[in-house]
Amino acid sequence: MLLQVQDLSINYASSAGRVHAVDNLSLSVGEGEIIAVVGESGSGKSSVGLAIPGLITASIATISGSIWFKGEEISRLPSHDLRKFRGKEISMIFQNARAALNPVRTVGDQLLETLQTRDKDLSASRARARALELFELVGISDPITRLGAYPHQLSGGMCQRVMIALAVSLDPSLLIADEPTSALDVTVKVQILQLLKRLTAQIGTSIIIITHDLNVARALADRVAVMYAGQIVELGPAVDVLKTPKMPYTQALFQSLPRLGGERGEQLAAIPGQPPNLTAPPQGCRFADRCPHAANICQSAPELFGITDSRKARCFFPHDSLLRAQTSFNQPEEPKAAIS
Amino acid sequence: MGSNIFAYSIRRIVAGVPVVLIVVFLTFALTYLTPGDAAVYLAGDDATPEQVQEVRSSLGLDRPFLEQFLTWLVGLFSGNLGNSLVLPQTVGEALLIRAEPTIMLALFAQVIAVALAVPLGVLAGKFYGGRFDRAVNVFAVAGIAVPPFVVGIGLILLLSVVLALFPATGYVRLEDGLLGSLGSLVMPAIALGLAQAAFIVRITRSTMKEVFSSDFILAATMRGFSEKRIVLKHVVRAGIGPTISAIGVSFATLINGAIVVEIVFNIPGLGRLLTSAVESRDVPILQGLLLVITVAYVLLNILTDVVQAAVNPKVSF
Ligand SMILES: Nc1ncnc2c1ncn2[C@@H]1O[C@H](COP(=O)(O)OP(=O)(O)OP(=O)(O)O)[C@@H](O)[C@H]1O
Ligand code: SF4
Ligand SMILES: [Mg+2]
Repeated sequence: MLLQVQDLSINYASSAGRVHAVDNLSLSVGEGEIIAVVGESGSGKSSVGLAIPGLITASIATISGSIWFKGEEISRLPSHDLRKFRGKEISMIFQNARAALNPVRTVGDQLLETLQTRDKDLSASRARARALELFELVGISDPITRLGAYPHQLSGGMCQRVMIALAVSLDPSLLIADEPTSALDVTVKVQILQLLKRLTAQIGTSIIIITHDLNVARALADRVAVMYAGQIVELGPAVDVLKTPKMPYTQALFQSLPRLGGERGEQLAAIPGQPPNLTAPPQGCRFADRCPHAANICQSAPELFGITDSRKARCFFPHDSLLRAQTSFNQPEEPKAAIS
Repeated sequence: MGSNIFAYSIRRIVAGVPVVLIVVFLTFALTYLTPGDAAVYLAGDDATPEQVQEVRSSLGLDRPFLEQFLTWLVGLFSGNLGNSLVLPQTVGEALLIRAEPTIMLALFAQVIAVALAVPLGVLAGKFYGGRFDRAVNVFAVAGIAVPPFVVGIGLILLLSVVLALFPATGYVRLEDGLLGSLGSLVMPAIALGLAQAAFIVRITRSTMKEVFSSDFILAATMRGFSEKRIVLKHVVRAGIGPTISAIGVSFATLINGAIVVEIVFNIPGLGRLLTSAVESRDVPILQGLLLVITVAYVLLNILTDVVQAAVNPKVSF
């Protein structure tokens, strides 16, 4: 296993009280594996992504659990020792790309800085050549001019591509990609998904991709983890989870039909009701208030039960939904086919 | 970009001329309207009204207001600020001699202030809410609440009277050596610089706190950069704008502070010249002083904006 997250809990300090954003979450990622994390807004996806490389500090939240990377318990390391993992071993595409770029420095300056500080032997001209190559790789046209641009001079999609170039620039072993394609149009999105696949195929990068876009999950992921209110509620091979979700929340979430033309990809469905207040999460099943199948036993908390060898669902009554029969999910091999 | 900044500066300077003229006119009007004049002062306490009147007409103070103002303006454009009514010098000479200690004091104080405030503010922003930050905050509040002259008197008592490290008062001119000159200014510059630092550090602290908690610093951390690189190349560079403005703005309080500090430390600068000119109603001196101060404000403002533009790519001319 490349990465093992065990019993991760994250409690943010906020004026409204402690926010139990992530609750006893365990997840492992193998070498070269791509895992998609899906779930509604606020379910804790980004929190998990940020916690893995130690970016959530004690001043913001209390964190418990352990995180193992390449056999080392990195959650115990002081931030100084985490440095050698960050960027080269574990790298991150941030959700809000524009905000994640320094506004007073050109994007080229930031990319060159990344390349050169992490590889002291890299000459200026080779770094520049590599930067141009990376910009081309992520579909930035006119890369020479774009190197000299400030973030505020670029569109949201362009900032996202710069962010991706920065994140893949050091050939990381693990890439945490938080909504990497949300601001991109279809052609560029396909290009980025292919780039990510190639990264996995060629240098064995493992990817945790956080997304709202089921097409992205389907095109890329080996496994899917569905999050609800800070917990993983369903986990299994992408093919199976997307085709025959077992847990009522996942079923409701995947209920949406592809939009006409499929321009922006297939988004997660809006489910009636609100997720629970995470300052005081319910004792029992966290989905009970919105679940059409809720029964008395759901007042106690379900575990993430194993259904088959590879599949798990956090529900006392995991079952196949009839809905899946109506929504035909084809399983294309290539991202291009998935999106068109 | 360089020529842009140049053209911009010229435009701003031209735009500043009316401001200067208006300020000068208003002060001219004010000194004219307030009771008492230099003639009373010069003629002495025992003088009869006739004697005072004589002095007054010999100085031209009995001529109409507009005539006096226009005479002064014409002189100004030919580089002549007039003669002091009291001192045996022209206004230009008096200002020139008195400017050196004030400029030295102001620069020295500002250097101390910036050298103190920027690192303290950056560190306080980094450890926002922690013990170090609270200590900096106490300093900032105290530095603004306690006036420079109190600090100055405290310094005199401690460093001159008790420890005998520095001369209590007076100024050594530059021509007698830079070190001696700076030495004579150590205490007044500290007294003044602390107040300046208190103002600047508040701004720096709160903007740096914002920058430290921003996404792009998290992203830089995630690239595995050293702490030093993150602070210097990312945080400070992104957050220095408001500090530059604060330094520019603080020159205004600096001039006020300098006047008081010059009195406490008996430094023969523009501040002392100002107080004595007010006392003796030496209108030409007052005019000249206000002209110099206003021009200095306008130029500092322009300089601040230009530096601001140089560090912030979002500002363009
Ligand atoms: N710094 C913080 N302080 C307090 N609460 C926070 C903080 N960051 C996140 N939260 C809360 O933690 C919960 C999980 O947030 P998180 O950003 O991980 O969700 P997400 O699944 O990534 O959502 P989205 O899809 O909108 O990005 C939310 O309720 C959020 O309000
Ligand atoms: S445990 Fe009960 S409430 Fe929760 S999802 Fe399953 S059926 Fe619904
Ligand atoms: Mg998120």
